[in-house]
Amino acid sequence: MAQPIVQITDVYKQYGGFKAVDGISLTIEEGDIYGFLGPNGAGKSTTLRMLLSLITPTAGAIEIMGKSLYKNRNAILAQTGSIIEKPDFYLYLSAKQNLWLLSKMYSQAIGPKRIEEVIKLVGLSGRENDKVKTYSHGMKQRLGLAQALLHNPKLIILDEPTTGLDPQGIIELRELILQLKNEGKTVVLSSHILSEIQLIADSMVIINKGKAVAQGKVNTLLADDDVIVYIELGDTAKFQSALVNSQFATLLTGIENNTAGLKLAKQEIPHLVSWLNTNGINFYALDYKKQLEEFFLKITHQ
Amino acid sequence: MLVKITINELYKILAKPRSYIGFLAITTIIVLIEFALYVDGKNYIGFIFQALEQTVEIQGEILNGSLVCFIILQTLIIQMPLLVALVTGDLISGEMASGTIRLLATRPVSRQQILWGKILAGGIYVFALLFWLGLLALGGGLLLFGSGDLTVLKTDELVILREEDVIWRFISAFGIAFISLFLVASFSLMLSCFTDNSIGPIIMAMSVIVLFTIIGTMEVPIFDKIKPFLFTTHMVIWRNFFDNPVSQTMVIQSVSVLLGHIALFLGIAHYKFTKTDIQN
Amino acid sequence: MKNLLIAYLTLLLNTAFAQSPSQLLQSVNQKFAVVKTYSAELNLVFDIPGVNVDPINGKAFYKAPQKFRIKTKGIIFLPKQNPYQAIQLLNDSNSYIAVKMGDETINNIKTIVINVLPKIPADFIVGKFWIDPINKLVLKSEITTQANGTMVIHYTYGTMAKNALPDKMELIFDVAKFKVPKAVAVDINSKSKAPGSANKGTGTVKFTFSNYVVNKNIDDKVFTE
Repeated sequence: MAQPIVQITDVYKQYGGFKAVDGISLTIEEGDIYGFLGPNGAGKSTTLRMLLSLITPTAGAIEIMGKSLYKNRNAILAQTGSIIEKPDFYLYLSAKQNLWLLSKMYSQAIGPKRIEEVIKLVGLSGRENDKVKTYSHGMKQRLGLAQALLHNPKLIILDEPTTGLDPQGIIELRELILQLKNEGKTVVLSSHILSEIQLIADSMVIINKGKAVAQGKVNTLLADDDVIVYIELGDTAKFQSALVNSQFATLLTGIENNTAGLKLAKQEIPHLVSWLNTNGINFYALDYKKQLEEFFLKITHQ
Repeated sequence: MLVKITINELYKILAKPRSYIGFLAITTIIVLIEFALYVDGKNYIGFIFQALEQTVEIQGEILNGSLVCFIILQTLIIQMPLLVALVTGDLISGEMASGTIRLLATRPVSRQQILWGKILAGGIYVFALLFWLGLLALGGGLLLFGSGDLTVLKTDELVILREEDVIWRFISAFGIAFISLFLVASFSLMLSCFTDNSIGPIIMAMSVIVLFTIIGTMEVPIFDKIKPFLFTTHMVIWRNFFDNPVSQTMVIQSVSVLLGHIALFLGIAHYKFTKTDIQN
Repeated sequence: MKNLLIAYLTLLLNTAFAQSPSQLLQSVNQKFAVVKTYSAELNLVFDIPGVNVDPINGKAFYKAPQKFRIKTKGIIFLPKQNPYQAIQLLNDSNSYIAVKMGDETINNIKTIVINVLPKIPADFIVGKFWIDPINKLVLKSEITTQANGTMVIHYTYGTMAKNALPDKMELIFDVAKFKVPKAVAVDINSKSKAPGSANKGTGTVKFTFSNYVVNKNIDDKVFTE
């Protein structure tokens, strides 16, 4: 069984009366791609900032690589790379100069060869001597990745890394993350888009209003057979009248704008269609979503 | 590691065009003053001494490199703090505003080291500015006007300092000026820790210096009580090295006050920067 | 023996006092006139109201009849009146009237006080000399001119007395009050007392001469450059 590389225990962050992080506990295993999922303002970035000691928790404990973050900050950060929010650089310097400056902040020697390597890895070759102020957002994102990988870290934390990337860039980033996993690195990435996390993460946590509302292996979380079925009805009154005495009566989640939602197992959908037809209930469309997706959508729209 | 960080900070300072405003301003002002004195200096001196020369014959070259340097130092007294604050006031807040503070704060170096790297780099910048000033003012002055006794025009008397007695005074004055300007750097850097606005600390630092200077020059009894506590009162103690004799007590007192203020400002900056959550 | 000595001294004194003021001044002038040129090491000490200046060493040059120049490396303050103007006055006995004003003791030396008035109105208004009649030396002079006011000079003699060259000269002269224009003044907040002579409005410069070189040729350029 993989060792935990990050252990967050009962961590809080309070600003006055507002709890940005409200008692989050989670474990990230070494070698995993771990997703932080949640709507904007959920507390994802705050939690990630606490992992990088940018923010001090109000309470709780954080252990990284088996060591307390507060007592071994420098040793931990020497093996951690990150992009938090949008990557910012010294705009009046070139990419190479930016990376050179950052390379000096490590006790291990990071020479020009390594700088060139990471520049090539992120696809910035040919532009490394241009001032960063001439870069597009996507290029800055790539440079952000370069500075995160410069010192060959064991743990990489990426906050919304696909923001501003074109579809090709997103694919390349995904491939890079998978490559890093193959090299034995642990990657933590946050997003507010479930599909992004779904595609590559091994484990994830969903954060909402500062709390961890769901966490675990992605496959497990999304394997739930229960779905929410949405039916766009032709005659809502007829449907409601027929539903009262039917086997589906207790499964109704709600009716809104002539669309009814029913929670049931996926394999029951054909029975539902049959029942609708038998009772002469017209419908224009029928769709379903996994419970987790539904849940995530709900909290995203709140 | 502190040395590497300091070099990094100096690199960043030197890469910014803003950092050269100070050197350009100093060069322009000094060249203008030296040119004006070269062309019209004798008339200027004649005007000042015309009353005394009615009954006394003044022999010797009053207009010389030492006097020119002294005049330049006097003139630049207001500008220098601004030129320093322009760079040092941006050291923390500029990085907060641009977001690059995250780049630094997520590296395996302590906040303390980051801050002290900036403080040391700021100090080196101040030294470089003063060195440039000294080179142009004293070096340029001596080259154009020659050496000689220094005539100091005090409000209540004329002081003549012999040529062989002048150099150590200039060196001491520059030393005090460095402490004074380092205080300005510390003050603006401290303010820089409280905001993510790049311009705010610069304007705030200058406003405080101007305000304290005005209070210090006003002959109002109620202000006399607070003047000794204003750091601007002590920042001008470098002038006392051009008095005869030099009041050692006053110099030691003022230097102590200046160093005390520097310790206070850097202490506050240290506390604030190491404890602040970086939200930017 | 004792009586003979007293008689001799009385005769000598009477002889001295027997000279008219004009004659006494001429004898002083003749004694000094032996010196055509001199140069000497000089130390200057200043006491001028409103001026704080350290002593300085330099060199003094003199060439008859009244060329006098001080050369130093630094800045010095001198009275506008030439100190040898006093002696120069005594050259032409026909140009002035000398009147004995009495006696005065200076440094235990009994001096004869003689007023000198010009016969023809000129810049020189009046002069006063305190003469040591025995050694034919001026111990004090007070010259008033239209242009430069009054200057008093005290003379102290030593080994060069035989040439009428003083070891020390103290020049006291009027100094107009002056104030440094505020626009250029530096406000140095010091506790040092503003110097100045006890008499407000008068300045003093003390010359101390040494290593005289007498009657060696001195180029006129020395007095003009």
